[in-house]
Amino acid sequence: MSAADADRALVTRYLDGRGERAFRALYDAHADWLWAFALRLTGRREAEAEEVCQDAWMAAARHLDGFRWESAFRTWLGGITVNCWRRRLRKGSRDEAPLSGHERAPPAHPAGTVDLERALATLEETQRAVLLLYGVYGYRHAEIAEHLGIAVGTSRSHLSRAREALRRALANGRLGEEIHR
Amino acid sequence: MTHREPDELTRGERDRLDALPRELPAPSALRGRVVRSLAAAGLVRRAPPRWTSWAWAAALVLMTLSGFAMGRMTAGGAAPAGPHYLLLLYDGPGFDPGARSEADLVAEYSAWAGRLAVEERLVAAEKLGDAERVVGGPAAGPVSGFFLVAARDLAEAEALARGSPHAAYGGTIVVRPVDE
Repeated sequence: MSAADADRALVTRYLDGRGERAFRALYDAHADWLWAFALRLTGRREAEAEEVCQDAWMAAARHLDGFRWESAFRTWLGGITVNCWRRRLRKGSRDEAPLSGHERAPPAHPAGTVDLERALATLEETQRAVLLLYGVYGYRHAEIAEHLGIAVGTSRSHLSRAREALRRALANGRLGEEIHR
Repeated sequence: MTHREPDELTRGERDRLDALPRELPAPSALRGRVVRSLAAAGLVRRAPPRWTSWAWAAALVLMTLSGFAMGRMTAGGAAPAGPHYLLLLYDGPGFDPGARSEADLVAEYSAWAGRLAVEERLVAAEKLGDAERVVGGPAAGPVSGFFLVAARDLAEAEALARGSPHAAYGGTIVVRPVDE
């Protein structure tokens, strides 16, 4: 069974009666993916990422019966998550610092990628979102522009600035590590 | 999710970003929070974690209303005829009531327990608490409740157990005679 067929089966089972077990199965299939997505989007603010995930599942459950399978389930869920994240940003109730960078490195991270995660977290919000959506999650500029409520050209220029900022952050990170040694 | 546009990232940037893990272990408590909030919004029907937490109590309440005194008394005070058998109920790994609504399950368990009372087979029924101490061991698993019934023989007691919704949904029932 392909991933798409598996997703469709899980969604169908959940929508057929909205049972808790069926929802848990759907949740379990995508929870770790969504967590990585939300954690990066929020610049590694864990409490905020949890809120975003919770909002996203709520919105997904509410609108799932209108999902037409014109994209992969995760592409759709990711778009919803971006909307939930933006809504929280607009509310502006952020008092959580991002993870410091000296916290545990999750074992799921291959060597070298922890620095990249830290550098991504230092980017300006929209630049980070564009770089993540384009570079990590494979969204096209037109989709990014729609989700972020910006023009396609703006998405491109954000990407360009984000790449520049990421290069600087990675260079600073290396310098910082050398100073710490 | 494939790009139809020319990639705007350099090969080096692409390689670095591709190396990021696409999944990270989500906090274990998050699932419970999500399920609770969806249930509160009516988007998820809560599954009974264990049937005894509510169906058992509901069944006993129903029996009380129908004249059966809860505990080890029988209707009218006379003990049902025949030897007594203990039906020990375990949820067990196979217990799965599927997508049945809570109301449906309560009705099913209540109807079954009510029938036993009406047929004067029910001697006692108790729901057991969750706390458990096993002395010696190993234990077969937590017992969630018991029925003490009157039956002609072990085979009839077993048939009573098989007729219960608990057996129908894959729960485990151990039937033992009371040594007289």
